[in-house]
Amino acid sequence: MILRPQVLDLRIISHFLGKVVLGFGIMMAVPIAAAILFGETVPIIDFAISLFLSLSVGYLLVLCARLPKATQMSWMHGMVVVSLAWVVCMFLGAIPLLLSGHWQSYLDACFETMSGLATTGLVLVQDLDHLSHAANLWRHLIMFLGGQGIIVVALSFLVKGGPGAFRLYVGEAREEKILPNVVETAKFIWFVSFVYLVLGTLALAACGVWACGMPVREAIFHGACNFMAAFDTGGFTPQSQNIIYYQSIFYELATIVIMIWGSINFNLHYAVWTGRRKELLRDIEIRTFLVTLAIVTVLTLVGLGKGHVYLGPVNLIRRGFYQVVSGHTGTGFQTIYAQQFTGEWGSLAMIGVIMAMAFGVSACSTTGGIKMLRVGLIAKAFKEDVKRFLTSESAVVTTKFRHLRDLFLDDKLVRSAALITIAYILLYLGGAVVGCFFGYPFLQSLFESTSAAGNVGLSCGITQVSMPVLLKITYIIQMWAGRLEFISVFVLGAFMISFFRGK
Amino acid sequence: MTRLKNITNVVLGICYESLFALSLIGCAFFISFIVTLIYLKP
Repeated sequence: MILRPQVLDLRIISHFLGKVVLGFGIMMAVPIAAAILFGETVPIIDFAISLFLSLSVGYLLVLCARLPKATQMSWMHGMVVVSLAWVVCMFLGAIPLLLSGHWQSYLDACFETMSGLATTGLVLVQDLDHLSHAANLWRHLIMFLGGQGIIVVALSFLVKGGPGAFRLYVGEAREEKILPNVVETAKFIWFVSFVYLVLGTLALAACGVWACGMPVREAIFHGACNFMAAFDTGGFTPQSQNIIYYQSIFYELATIVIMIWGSINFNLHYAVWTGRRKELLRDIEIRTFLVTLAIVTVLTLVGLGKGHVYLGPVNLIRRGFYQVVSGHTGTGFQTIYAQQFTGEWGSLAMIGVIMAMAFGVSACSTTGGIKMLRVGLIAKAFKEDVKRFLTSESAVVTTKFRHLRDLFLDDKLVRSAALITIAYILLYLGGAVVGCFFGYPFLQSLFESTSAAGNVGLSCGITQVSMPVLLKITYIIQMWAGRLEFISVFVLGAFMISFFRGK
Repeated sequence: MTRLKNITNVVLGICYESLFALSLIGCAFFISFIVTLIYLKP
């Protein structure tokens, strides 16, 4: 028998949802400061309205649901809060974008916001080159917030620690705590991000000034925006030409390094930054990443070489390998135009990039996709099964792997990894079927669908303002479900069913 | 002293992670070079 949620359940959900929305709303002060700095008056009004609305919604949710002391949040509450928070933040974050007049409809603005929050990077903005600095910064900031996790933002500032906090944290597809206290974990994630923010922005700004001849202030602005997009493996850029705009191999190399920084598990950052540097090359995630990166790089470069698309190792690195790393880390930066994928690259190279996008890199990082931990575990399980056939029946076969510490492979781990992997594959194929329904070729539909669901952002040209509304909604759902890794989305679905059909 | 050790570890950690990323680019360059050699043949 399905039980209908009680009033207390709704109050708990409303209370914590309100806190998360408040945290998200406060962040709108940053683009207001940027608008003042750049002397942009209209965006100040746009963001002030949005800030007021967000804070009002947040306060209303918190005030309407005051909780008695010692109220405990259950796993169900945590999961529902997280999945709802992402949707509410999408609706609120889209308001200043819509008000800027650069998005044709509210749906387009919501698409862009979810793309940012989920660190996807697919865009529907019009005339990006004339977008205000404030709105542009907001696009990148929501990507930064989404990459760290909206919940991590709330945990850092507004929600006290405890079991409830941990349940929120897990709901956002982060199962591993770095430090014993989840709030300290959230703060460490911010520490790593800020240290790299400073270093990455300076590096990109230096490249901008020295290699691209940009004015210092613009170079710093572009550096900060591109760093946030690269480290959070998002893929937005402050202008319409993506990374092609910079026409600089140094800029491209710097962004590759930042994308790889961003794709490393925060737990591994912690290990390496606390002196356990050897962990980086011993971890199953990084080892699997090296294998899959080698496979997809060879596949893509051979595809490009066979078609004589680019000649010379430097060109292959700048066009082929760049797209592979961008896809594998889930960033979505492009050094070629979207139409070149379908017009020049050929099927083999496209399949290489699709595989890269589907894989993703580390759990507890900002990347999307299946993740290397799951791929590694499934590969180890296959190996173990083959080993069982080769040894005597009475032999006990065990498999050890290294993920921050020595662990043994067990059926529960493999089952969980296989289930999420299957869910991702179904999500990729589901989006491709919807694309085919609207008349796009299968390979292109699969490319775009994998890009959306794997939170990558590479586009072969399907994502446009003129694409069907249903396809836009499909991609929004894919980005959302892909970022939250299904469980909290499924729990929200079950919660809705129990709300209407429970007894 | 502990603080100095922590800062050193962070700096070394950043260098190590950057070196890791740069070595991946180096390996990709090697693969690109091989691919070019194979497909540049008339």
